Amino acid sequence: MKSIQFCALILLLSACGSDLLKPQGDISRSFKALDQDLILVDIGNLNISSSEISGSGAFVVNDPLAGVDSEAHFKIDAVLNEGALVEFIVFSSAALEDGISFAFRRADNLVSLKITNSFRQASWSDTIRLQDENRVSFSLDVHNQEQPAHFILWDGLLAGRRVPDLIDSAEDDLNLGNGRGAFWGMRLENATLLQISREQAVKSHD
Amino acid sequence: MIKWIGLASLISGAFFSSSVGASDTSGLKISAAADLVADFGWQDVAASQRLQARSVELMFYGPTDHLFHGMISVAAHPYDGAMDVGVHEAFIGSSKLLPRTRFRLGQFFLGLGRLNPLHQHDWPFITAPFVQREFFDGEGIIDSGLEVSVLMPSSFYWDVTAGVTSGWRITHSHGDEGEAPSIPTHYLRSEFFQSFENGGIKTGLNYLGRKDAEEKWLWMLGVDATAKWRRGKVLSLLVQSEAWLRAQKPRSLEISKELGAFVFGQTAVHESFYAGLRVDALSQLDLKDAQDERLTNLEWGLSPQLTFEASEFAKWRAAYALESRYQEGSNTSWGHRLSLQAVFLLGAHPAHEF
Repeated sequence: MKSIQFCALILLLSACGSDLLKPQGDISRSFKALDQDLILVDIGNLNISSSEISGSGAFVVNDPLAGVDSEAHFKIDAVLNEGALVEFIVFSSAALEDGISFAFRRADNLVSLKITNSFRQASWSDTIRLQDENRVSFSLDVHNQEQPAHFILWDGLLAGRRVPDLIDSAEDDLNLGNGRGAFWGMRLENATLLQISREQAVKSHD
Repeated sequence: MIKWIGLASLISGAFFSSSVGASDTSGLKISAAADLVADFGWQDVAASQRLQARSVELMFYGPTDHLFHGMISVAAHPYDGAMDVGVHEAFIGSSKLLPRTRFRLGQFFLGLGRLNPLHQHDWPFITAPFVQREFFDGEGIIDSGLEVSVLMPSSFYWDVTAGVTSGWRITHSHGDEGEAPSIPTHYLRSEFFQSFENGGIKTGLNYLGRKDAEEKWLWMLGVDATAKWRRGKVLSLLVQSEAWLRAQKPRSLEISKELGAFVFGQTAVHESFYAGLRVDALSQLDLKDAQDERLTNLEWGLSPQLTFEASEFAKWRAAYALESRYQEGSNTSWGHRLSLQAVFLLGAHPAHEF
């Protein structure tokens, strides 16, 4: 039934043409998966079920953060096949613009991470070694109320003050500025997303 | 007029502060303060879950000569398992150059609102009110610049403070110096005081503006009020409140507005024991979902506390807080917080206003 609904959704969206790229209150672009209300930004060829999203495309989670100047914690779990891309974008507009993105790409069995602030046209990239090279499971604190935005990335779904991190932008001198929106979402290329969720920031400074 | 100048001096330290004996201006004063906090959270409340020294501060202050006075304070805060040491305040000032006028030049907590100019160990509660946490970086906005205060020539007590600071940063950073703003941080405070039998009330109207390097405007408007009633040396009743509206306008994006406030009341239940209650509220006024639908939202807290204060130099507090966040269309989060605090001061301590 879900797949029939999705095919109907694709037909409907195909008729909408370029409106897909800019969310404008079109309720037909919304769907529920992975316990989140999601809105398509780029339909691509996504296959959506309640427990996973696979293929290529982009969506925004219809659960805005507590303002642009706020902080939050996120957990992402995805299968990263050879040639796949898993990109998490946060503190962006509802069209996933002007935010900070964390893009994991696997090529030649190497996983690279590129962190970009599209508004500032600033980026950082490097190859990284993950616990499981076929899987991108990470936890992320983003404190966009700080200047510049402070982010802490953990390899795995376990995070905390005493859990060693993979990247701490403050300690690693990564100044990419701040995101300019209050939304968060994903862009996938030939990947399978199994979890996307947000919680309260782990390393809040209060 | 002279009576108002005299009253200003009284408010500045001699009348309502119990640190009177420590505030003479002869020679260097050295003071140390430690703020020990155990903070535990349950359910959706994030807390350190342990006892730690939230801040340790060393203060040096006194007259530099017959015209000027100075202050240097160095504070350490826990960060990533170690104590991060930094300069809180380093300024020179005077109240003797121009009639009814005082100034300070250097780095300081901006003279805005009631809580921001005070060091955290001098607050009447343990945790930062939600509005202070979100709008004032938790502890307070510190910057470098010039601040001038003038006691206005009026028939009532009216003190006006204006300041301009570098504005390279408006919140804390981890070693990053920030960027030159398009328009530096500037602020204005208009303060009024009215005394009455056994007490007084101080109120303030506040404005802060800044346009950052990316041409994002920040405006803050606030009102604060503090009222005290004393019975002898005992502060029999304290009522303290601040309300702030924060608006931000990034270049080419819509303006966003947030409103936050707290009210704190405390009464003496014994000569050294006080019971208090704080109510917090914070809301983003124009929060919209990805389909541009407006979402009602409110973050609120209710926090009763007990304080034991045998003297100005040692305070013990215990507080419980019920904290919740409601946002239309998503799950309401809530939880419980238990905070314990011990604050002690060694040596002299600067006199506090009212």
